[in-house]
Order: sequence, then C-alpha cells, then structure tokens
Amino acid sequence: MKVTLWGTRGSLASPGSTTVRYGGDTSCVEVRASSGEILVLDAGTGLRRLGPSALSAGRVDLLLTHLHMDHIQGLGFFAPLFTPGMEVHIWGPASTAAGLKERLGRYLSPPLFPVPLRDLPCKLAIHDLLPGDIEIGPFSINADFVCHPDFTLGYRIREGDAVMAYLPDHEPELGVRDFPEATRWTSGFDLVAGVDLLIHDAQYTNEQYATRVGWGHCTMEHALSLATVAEVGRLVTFHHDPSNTDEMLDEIATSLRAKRHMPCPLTPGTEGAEFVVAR
Amino acid sequence: MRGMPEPVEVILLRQWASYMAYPVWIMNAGGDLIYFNEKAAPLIGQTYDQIGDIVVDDIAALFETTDLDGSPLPNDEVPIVRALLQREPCFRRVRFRGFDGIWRIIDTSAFPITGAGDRNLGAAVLFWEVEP
Repeated sequence: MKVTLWGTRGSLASPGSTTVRYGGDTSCVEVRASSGEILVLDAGTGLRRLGPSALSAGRVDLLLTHLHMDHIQGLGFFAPLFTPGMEVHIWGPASTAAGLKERLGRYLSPPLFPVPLRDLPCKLAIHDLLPGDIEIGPFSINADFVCHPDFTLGYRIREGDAVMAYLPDHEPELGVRDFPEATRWTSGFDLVAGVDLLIHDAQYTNEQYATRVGWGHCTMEHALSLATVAEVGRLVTFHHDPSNTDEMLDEIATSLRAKRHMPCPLTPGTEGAEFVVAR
Repeated sequence: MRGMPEPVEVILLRQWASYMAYPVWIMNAGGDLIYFNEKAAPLIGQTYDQIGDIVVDDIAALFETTDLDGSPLPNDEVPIVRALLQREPCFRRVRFRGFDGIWRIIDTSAFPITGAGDRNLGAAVLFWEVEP
C-alpha cells in the first residue's frame, strides 16, 4: 500500500513561511491499496487537496480518529461529498451519547457550515465504530480507543503482509511509571506492535510537554520510545504543534538522533511525503 | 513486563487510582485482581508490586469477606462481585481479612467499568477502614 501525507499539522492549520516545509494543513493521510481502493485517515484541512484525486475511485472510506476540529474541518471541502453517485463511507468513534452522524452534523450545519449533511449529493454512509476489527475492501483494520481526551480511536491497517498504524493524537506515557517497558499499561501498544510504518503523535517539544501533561499529546522522544519497544519498521512523527517551526522540528529530530539509539528510521512527517509500505 | 495493553478505560482508571489517597482495587472483566494502589496495601497486607495479579480462582482463598456479624456473605452480595456480575454500583460495610490475617471493618463502594458500546471491562472498588 502507498501512504501519502496530506496534512501533518496538529490543532490548527498553520500556513506561513516558518511551516512551509513540513506543512501547515491539519491531519489527513491517504492510504491507497495496490488494487486502487482508498482509505482516508482523518479529515483535517489537508483533505481538501486530496479530494479531486479520490473521485476516480468511485468509493472512498474515511476513517476518523476523533472529532476534534483539526480532524474534521476538511469535510466541508471534500470533493467526493459533493459528487452525485460517489460512495462515501465515514467511520468514526462511537460515543456514549449521540451517534456519529449527529455529532458530525453539529459541524456540518448552520451556523458553523452552510451545507447540512442531509443535503450532500453523494451516497453517504456513516458508521459508528467501537474497538474491534473491520474489513474494508482489501484492508483489514483494527480499531481501539487510545489515550486522548474524548473518544479517540487509533487504527492498525493491514493489506496483505504490509501493516501500518495511525495514532495522530496520543499520550501513551500519561501516568505510566515504567513507560514504555510496561506495555500492558501503555495505551495503543497492541495497535503499533511490529508494524512496518507507524504514524504517531509528536506534537510537543520536551519543554512544551512539561506544561501540557494530560492534553493528549506527546513528544518525538515519547513516540520513539514507543516505536522502539513495539519494534516498528519506520516511525513518522505527526501532528506538529502549530508553534513549532520547520527549524525547530529539524533540531528536535537531529538532537534525538544524536542522543538515542535509532532502531528504525525516524522521519518527521512532511506534507506530500509518500511511503510505500511493503514486507 | 511486556504484554498486550489493557483497555484504555482501565489504563486511565489505574492511573487515577495510583494518585488517590484512599484504597482502590481494580478487577478485569474476568474477575482477576489486576491492580490495587499503595493506600490499599496496608489493608490487603502486601503491595501490588509484591504480589502482582491474582486470578479470580485464587481470590476467595486469599481474601475473606463476611457480614458485620461474621456470617458468610453470598458471593453475589460482595460489592465488587455485584458490580462485576450485576454491573451496578454497590455500597456495603463488611468485615475483610487480607494477607496479614487481620479482620478489619471496611466501607466499600464498588462500581462497574463499562465502556462505550456497553463493553464490560471489569469493576473497581473504593474502600475505607472504619474506625474500630
């Protein structure tokens, strides 16, 4: 499968000269099967540019990790949703109260957005997801709740022998005394164990994290620690803080490579980057 | 130490329990004791780090719970068991004997750990020793 990063920023779209290289659009990743089927992971502002290239597929499955604004804001600008005959399936976390359709409708309705969900001309299906396994075309997907405020899923995706995991918003070390060795008490470990490609939260610098414990994110060092114990093939860090410039991200990665043993390649996620996941 | 993680709801509950200033005990959906915090150790008689998990079949042999008059409590009237099996909160004052063999009177408040989708993830109990 081929993985393309369309948006790598966290929390807030952050265009500008200091973020132009890693990118300013928020979370959106395309996963394209060798046979052409498309999964889209999250609907941040990066979704807008992905839209036109998805139209030829006839069907798109969009997996939302959670409903924070930086993960759904692109929905209103996603071309397949506005294309008659296009089949769009939106999958996202169930909650204990309202269904996914109702919760998405709070954004896709006035006064926040002029076009309500019911007026979209595509063939739209919305699926509430609980932890467990689903099959979508050639993809076998395992979803599980992970440590992040509000219902948030992480995904483990397999096509053939190739496996990737996507946990863009995740604070795995929160309160874990022996992180990352205490894998039993580390959220998300089963999703990421042994994957060929891990796309993982690394929003904060160590200094930023010190004042933001419990906000649901982690550092590049935390992500590397988890990737190390989980024996992943490649780590792509993701969900960069809006205030972290290209130079800062370079510096964090460079200093980490100098300080820590690198059991796998570490790549700060860059908008437009592509990865072929194969085994 | 390496193993598949507990559900995130249980992970977060354990984290919360580890910071609490009163005893907390957590069981998984199968009834195994999978954690108790430092404040629970004096009542149980050992620390969690010393004994680790206790499988459900061993719990009845290691700990004893009776009514205040010393009469045996039916299993389904033990608060943590009621929370686990009936999936409802339960409060009761009971006599409890831990590893140290000392009988104590404790107040227990047990509740089920029920996740989204009505998933049964276990039960937890908060307890306080009542002044003799």
